[in-house]
Amino acid sequence: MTARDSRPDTPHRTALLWTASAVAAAAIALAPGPAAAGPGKWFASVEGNFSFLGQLVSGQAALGSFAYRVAGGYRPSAFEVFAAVEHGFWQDDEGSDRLRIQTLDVGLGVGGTFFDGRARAELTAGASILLTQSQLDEPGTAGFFIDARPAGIRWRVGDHLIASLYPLTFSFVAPVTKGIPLVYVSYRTAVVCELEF
Amino acid sequence: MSASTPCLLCAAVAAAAMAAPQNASARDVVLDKGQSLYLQLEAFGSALNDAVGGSNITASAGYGGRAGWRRGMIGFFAEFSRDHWLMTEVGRDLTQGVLGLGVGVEMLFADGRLKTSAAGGSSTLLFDTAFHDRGTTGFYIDLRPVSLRFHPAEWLVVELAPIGFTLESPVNGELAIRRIEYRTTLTLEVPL
Repeated sequence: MTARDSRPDTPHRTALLWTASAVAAAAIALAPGPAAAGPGKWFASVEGNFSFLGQLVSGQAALGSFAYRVAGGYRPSAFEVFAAVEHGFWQDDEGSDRLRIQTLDVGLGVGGTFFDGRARAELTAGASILLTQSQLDEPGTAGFFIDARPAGIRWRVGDHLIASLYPLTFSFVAPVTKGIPLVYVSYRTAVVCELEF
Repeated sequence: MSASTPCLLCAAVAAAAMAAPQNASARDVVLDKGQSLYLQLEAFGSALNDAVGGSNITASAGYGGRAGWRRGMIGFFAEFSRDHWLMTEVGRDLTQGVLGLGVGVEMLFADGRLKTSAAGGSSTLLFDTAFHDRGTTGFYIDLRPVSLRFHPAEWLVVELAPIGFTLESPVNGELAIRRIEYRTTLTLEVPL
């Protein structure tokens, strides 16, 4: 159980949460048809992802994390394999809200599209490298990361272009695993633009 | 639950979804343009909740039900839920947690295979804490941005919400109790 001081602006944040939900629902309602992928296609994607729900509730103005990612892979059928590189920004280990700690995450993943290509799940894992000095660790220290995305929604917006929204994903990033570990656990929202060729 | 659990969940979702019929057959396309009533029973669990930016690793498990009315792609429902909290600050006690009573709205899309829903209502503390009495009531918000819906039979829908967001706040004001849960929910739905 966590007891926290009540915040005077909580009603506003609750309203913001509901507004964001309504906007997401409207986007889904206006979505075009299936985004089924053709077999034997290569693809490349760019994305931005961030975590904010926990911070929204606790009244923090800052994001919990932010990252951008590029990925490329091959989709022989509904199943796919890909490689991904992500640059992540995480909250300061000295206690401030500033996203000072940076990691470079390089990994391989598997994924799959289903429901006529309208939904997708993926799992990525690999090395996580600390890019900035932390309180206890030097840049270059390497650990691992796991990124699980059980359900994302896809929209085909062109012959070769697909937009995706992953409302909630799970990320476990541990650039330092020895001594006193440096571990970031976050539930993130990701927006992806994918080019299929 | 360890960090590997979401990975197993991810793999399970992919396997189930890929095993499901991919074409729009009469059986799995259920975006009924008419009106319908339905009942849902659900079980949910969550872990690593306050691990996000906090030092507590809280977990919970519970069950609930929904009764709703759906017209085309839009539906409205009333719901209850019992959420048992696992305390990890001192020992590992499973408490009575909270009772949630609320209403919500939902929307089907992708030919009825995907669903998003939002609900809110009262959240009542069902056990005494050091500072609060049982029966103290606040509010909760439950968001399930993407639920996957499978139709194994004409009379049954199995629904999986891999990750949803729930804010339970049974005590507001001084020494508020606010709990964030990222739940995985499995639901069985039958039409009436």
